Amino acid sequence: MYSVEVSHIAKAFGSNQAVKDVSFQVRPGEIFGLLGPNGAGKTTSIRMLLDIFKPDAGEIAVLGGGITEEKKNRIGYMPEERGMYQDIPLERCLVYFGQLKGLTKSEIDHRLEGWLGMFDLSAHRKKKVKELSKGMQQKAQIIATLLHEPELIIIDEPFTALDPVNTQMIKDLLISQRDKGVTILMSTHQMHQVEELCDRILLVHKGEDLLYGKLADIRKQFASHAVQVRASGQIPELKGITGREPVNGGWMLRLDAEITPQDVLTQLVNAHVIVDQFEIAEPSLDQIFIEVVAEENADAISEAS
Amino acid sequence: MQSAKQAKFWFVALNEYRKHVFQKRFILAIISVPALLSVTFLVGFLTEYFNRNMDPIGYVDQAGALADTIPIPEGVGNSQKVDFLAFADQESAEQALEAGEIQAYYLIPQAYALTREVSLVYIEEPGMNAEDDFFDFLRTNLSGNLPERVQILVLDGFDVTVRSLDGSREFSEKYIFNLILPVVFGFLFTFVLTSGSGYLSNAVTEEKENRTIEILSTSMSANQFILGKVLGIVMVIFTQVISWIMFFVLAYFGARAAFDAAWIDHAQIDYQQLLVLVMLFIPAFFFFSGIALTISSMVTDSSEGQQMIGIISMPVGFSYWFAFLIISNPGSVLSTILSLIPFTLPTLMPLRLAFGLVPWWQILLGVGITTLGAFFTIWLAARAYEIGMMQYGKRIRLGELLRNSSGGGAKK
Repeated sequence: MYSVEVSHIAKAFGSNQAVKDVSFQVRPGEIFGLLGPNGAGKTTSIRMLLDIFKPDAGEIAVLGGGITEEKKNRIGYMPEERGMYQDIPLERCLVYFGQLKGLTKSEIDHRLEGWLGMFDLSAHRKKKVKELSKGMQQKAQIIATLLHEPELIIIDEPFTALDPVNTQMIKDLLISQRDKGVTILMSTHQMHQVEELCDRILLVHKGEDLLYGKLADIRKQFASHAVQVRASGQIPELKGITGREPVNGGWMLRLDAEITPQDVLTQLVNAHVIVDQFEIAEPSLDQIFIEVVAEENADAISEAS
Repeated sequence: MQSAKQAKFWFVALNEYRKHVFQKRFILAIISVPALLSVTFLVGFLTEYFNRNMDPIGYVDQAGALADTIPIPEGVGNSQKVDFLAFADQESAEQALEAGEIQAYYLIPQAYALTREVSLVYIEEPGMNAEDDFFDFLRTNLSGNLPERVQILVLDGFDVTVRSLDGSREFSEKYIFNLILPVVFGFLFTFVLTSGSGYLSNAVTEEKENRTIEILSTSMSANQFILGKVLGIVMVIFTQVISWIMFFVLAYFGARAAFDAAWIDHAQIDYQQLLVLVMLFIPAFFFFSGIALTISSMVTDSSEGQQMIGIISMPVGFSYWFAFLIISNPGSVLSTILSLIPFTLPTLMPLRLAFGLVPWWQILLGVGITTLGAFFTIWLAARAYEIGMMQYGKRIRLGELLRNSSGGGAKK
């Protein structure tokens, strides 16, 4: 059984077709990335699967069916629009959110100690939310999402307003949650963050599925026949290289169809080149996205003409 | 865990209550009404106190009405009375007035028995107590030869008791609260609705402004959320009302202890009538709260909500236009219909209770209609919340709300 099953959902607001046709499944215990640029339809899709909006078409099943009041307690949701009560103390705000997720006061008190300590917020628990920095409020929002130990976490743009240290902390936290068996559906437009975290992804563009599957498979699918080399000193002329371009202090070597990366490495070793880095060049998600969108646009132009 | 799940609306209610009640502005609002009334009372008391003059009052009795004077009995008029000095003629009274021995003097002319008119002579206006004390003195002496029961009536005035034919209602000095309470309740409802409109207009819009609405909507149903909001605000308002009632009760007992006013001593509260008023007040407030929350869910910001709630509250204020009709003919068909409509019931049904006989079935019908109305407006508020919760900066039109609500699927 999938934790989330979305089948051909669509949603329009007046004349604006926010989601045209989106389908995906999220497996239990995986981190799934819902990716796409701003305005692609990610947040609308999430709001539909959380029953905030009803889809105009399509089917949605979350934790084995439609959203019920009981299921709401099994889901942790961190919306893109962060929401905290600004005029009340942090602790009171978190206790309230915990109670709304079905926790008793004693359960909340017990769990909150650990969470506030982990996020260095213990000293700020009595402060009003508006007195906290943006980063602190972001961390508090994450506590509110995880406090009731949900089976399914849906998290929209989790790294907004976080510095690199806290970004890493959240990444580690999401990985530890996955290791505990929690399913995570993460939506973001920051594709480089996803590359480290997600097992599978769906790339959405203009409300439609663009790429769907395992991250590694997608990368392989778009991998060009090239290697990335960084070496001390000059790289000599090598057989079977059709082009070279500088990349991140090294070189991207494009290979002839009959040459393998192993052949290139052998040539470098034989030429006594001291190799600092040698890897098969795989495109980043950003590059894949740009490539796919460019292809789509070209198709659209040719169809129109 | 199960009980916590079922009681989510209580957490919303308690959160709403704590958010408003433990604020300086709420405490100021509670204190302001008793403080304003106390200041008004104090100003009145001081004005009277400083306008009193305890210097003697003279009189020249040309009619012989005060030949053998007797003092005013205890319990009649002011507790402290001025002394009265008799003068043989107007000249000696004039001299005493100029010498400052008396504050003024009364001239009782020979024809007093016919005209019942006296003249007051003074240089500076006498104290406010002077006239009251002199006429008490005059009445006491003129009625001195009458039988004791007649003299009591002359001095105390009549106590008329008006009783309904079926004996169920009575109005007299003893039951003065039967008249006062319903009128006060009507005004109190209007006042509470006005002061509560701020809380009500903010109730949903602030969740939009705080961006907490998505967290709330993915934690509980719209019905639980709206019910919690209504209960929370009703608790806030009741805290305010109960605080004021406690002030009035304290003021009542304080007045009984401090002032020697017979009507306060004898006045009794009809608890049956009080219960009826509370029965009317509670569903009516829920009814208006449901409307206010519907508006709060439909509009984009709290100031817009407050303006619209002001418009919706207007029928309560306008209902006083019909007050004369109700007072002059509380049993008419129009009075009956108006007092059963939830918009005008909170002010007009109490007026009917004060000035006429209202059958029990009509009271129960009014409470029933208003209770059903309250359920409907709260249900409508929940539907408006479902439709409007994610529409930042966009107002929902009434047609859109009704179309979606009647279609069953309220969510966009």
